[in-house]
Amino acid sequence: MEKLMKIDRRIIYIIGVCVVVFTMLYPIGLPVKISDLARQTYAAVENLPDGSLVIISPMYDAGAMGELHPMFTVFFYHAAKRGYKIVVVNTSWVQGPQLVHPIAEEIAKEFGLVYGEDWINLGSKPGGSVFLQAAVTDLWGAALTDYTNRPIASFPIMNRVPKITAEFVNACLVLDCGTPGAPTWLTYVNEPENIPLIVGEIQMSVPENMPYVASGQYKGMIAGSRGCAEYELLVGRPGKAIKAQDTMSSIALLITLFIVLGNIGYLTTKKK
Amino acid sequence: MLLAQEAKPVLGVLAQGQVADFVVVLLLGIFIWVLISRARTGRKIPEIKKIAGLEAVDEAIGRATEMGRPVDFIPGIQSIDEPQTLAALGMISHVAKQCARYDTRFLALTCDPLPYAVIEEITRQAYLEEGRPDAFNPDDVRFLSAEQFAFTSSVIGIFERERPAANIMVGSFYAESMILAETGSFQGMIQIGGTANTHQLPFFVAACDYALIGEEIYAASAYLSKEPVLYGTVVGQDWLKMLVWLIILVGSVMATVAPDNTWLKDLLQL
Amino acid sequence: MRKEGPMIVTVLSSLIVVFSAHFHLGKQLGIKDALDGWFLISICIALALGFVNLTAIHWKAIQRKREGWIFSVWLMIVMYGYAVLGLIQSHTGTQFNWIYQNIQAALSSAVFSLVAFFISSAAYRAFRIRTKEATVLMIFAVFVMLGRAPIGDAIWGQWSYWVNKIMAVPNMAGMRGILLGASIGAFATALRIMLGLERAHLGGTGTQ
Repeated sequence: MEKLMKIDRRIIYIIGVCVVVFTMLYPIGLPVKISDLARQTYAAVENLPDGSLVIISPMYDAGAMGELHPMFTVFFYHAAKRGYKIVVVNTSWVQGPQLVHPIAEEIAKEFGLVYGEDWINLGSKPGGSVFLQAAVTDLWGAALTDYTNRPIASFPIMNRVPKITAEFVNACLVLDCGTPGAPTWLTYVNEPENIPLIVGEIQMSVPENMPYVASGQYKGMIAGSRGCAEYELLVGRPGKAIKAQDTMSSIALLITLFIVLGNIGYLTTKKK
Repeated sequence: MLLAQEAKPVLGVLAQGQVADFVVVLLLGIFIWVLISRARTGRKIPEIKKIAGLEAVDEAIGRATEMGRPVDFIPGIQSIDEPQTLAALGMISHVAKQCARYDTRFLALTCDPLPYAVIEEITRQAYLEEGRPDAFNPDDVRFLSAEQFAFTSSVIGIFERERPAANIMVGSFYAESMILAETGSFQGMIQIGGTANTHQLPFFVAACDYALIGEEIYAASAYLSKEPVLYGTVVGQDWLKMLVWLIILVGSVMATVAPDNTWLKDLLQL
Repeated sequence: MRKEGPMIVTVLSSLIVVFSAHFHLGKQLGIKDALDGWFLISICIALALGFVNLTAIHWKAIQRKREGWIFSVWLMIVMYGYAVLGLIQSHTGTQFNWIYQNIQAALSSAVFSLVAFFISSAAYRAFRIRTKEATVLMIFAVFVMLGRAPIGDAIWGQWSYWVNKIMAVPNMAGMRGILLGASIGAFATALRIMLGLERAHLGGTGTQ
């Protein structure tokens, strides 16, 4: 029984890999129940006025793309489906816009959106909170060029958004995995300018961000991979998050099993 | 010059929406000034509770000394404008001094170039103050990478190759916290983890021997220095916390009893 | 003067920031914007310093043929090669972008994914029912973990509902408490630096 307390970590890892691979190859298709938070988040995007302009900010880099790429996909897809104009921009997370560009291009193609007219990728701008403060007073001056280094004045969509204020921007959709992130947007843009902020958070950041949802400062939040799967169902485009749910279930069960085994070993050893 | 603010001033001089903030700055300043004055004149100031994670710092260094292996310090992955990084800097000098005193190798591993430059200077100064400037090796203070996971991989490599006996991680950590703490645990290191990033705290609690939770890291430099003046600033911080607690209590009662009465909310939004 | 000069700069900068943030005139003048710009420039200079540090460390390793020196050679080739490629092509260059998307992104994701493995081994080791508190911790951890995956609802229809309640009430209360304490702590640290009581950031040994 003492052995149960000291299972080699490599055994745990190997079994973990096997379980992940197996459930990816042979998904069970457990149903995903949609939470109130997912419905609230969906409604926050869905109920923006027709012809709205939204900012989508991928505040992440390659490390978090496994969890946040599906969120970018559903946000971009939902905004495109509703016919909103879309501006993609972030600050400090240098590679975010670079990573999401192919996804945006693919969805834009699907809906026949024209780059520079219906959507634009401004790329990543240095400065964090400094950039955001500058963008509130003068987005053109703060951003200068788009992702491909062309002056933003040459794109018709930018005539609609000279600065990030409630007059020009209907909502900010921020995908966040660290600092600067959604709270930075809240502090420097959304709270002072009274623009709705809807966020997507990696699972481990969800507990920390719950207070902002409860206080109404975030109008909605995609809470981790599970939240994204729920959003995919709501928006009618099942994607990578839905596919990941069986894997999440099996890994959660496996970890539970190891915790139970460890405790059986601990209790029996203690009794001796 | 930009004319960023068109709103009218409050009370003639203050910016709109900033009155409550300014009062809090002022109040904390007053609390700290009162307590520092008391400390300087030798009068009694309240004690700070024992913080196990900070008490363990010297124990960790002692163990590394006995084993003849290095102590490593990671001040988070954020830059110098992050308060948690500043809190870590306050702690580094103590750790570096102890290492210099006991002739234990001290490794500082950074993910941002700004703290790197400062830490090199702090460590050099610590060795100098301990009378051992020759023992300071600039190569032991390292900037590894500004890329989060490249930094993480580098640290794992250093853990494997140089096998520190003690791992102190205090600052702003993200997804790398679990990887670093577990690797440290596999290596049998004595580990102290501290952060105010609540999403990473559970990982430190699970994988480290000692965890510094939230505000404890900000008390670290005062606690370790055992300097009464700095103790006073920590007590001042607690006084402010009690005031905030009182405002929350009054706000909660008012929101329950008289939800239409918004004077407190209006006052805080001034 | 070696310490006093930087200290004066710190105090003056702090006062300017407080003045710009809280006072009407300060906001109008926008001096803080200029300070922010200087900060950005200093970060770029410091990045160059980091570059020099990495070169120095690995150059020494190569010269002295330390253990694993071949990796230092590789690091130098990749670091300088990618920097030069970036300077030539900018970040939108085909080869630069390809390397990022297919090597850097893949490697970062791989390291990040290690978290999942390490969480499982840490959970196995840490969640032992040694005390009453540890037992409560373990029960809630397992409950929330299963409830955040569809398996929870498959076992019991109300599982995710109660998980959401736990997240929204006790979890949030705890988070708010820690956040408030940490914010006040950060605030007090800032004030200590402003008042010159804490000087570690100036490269000294910390306190005054």
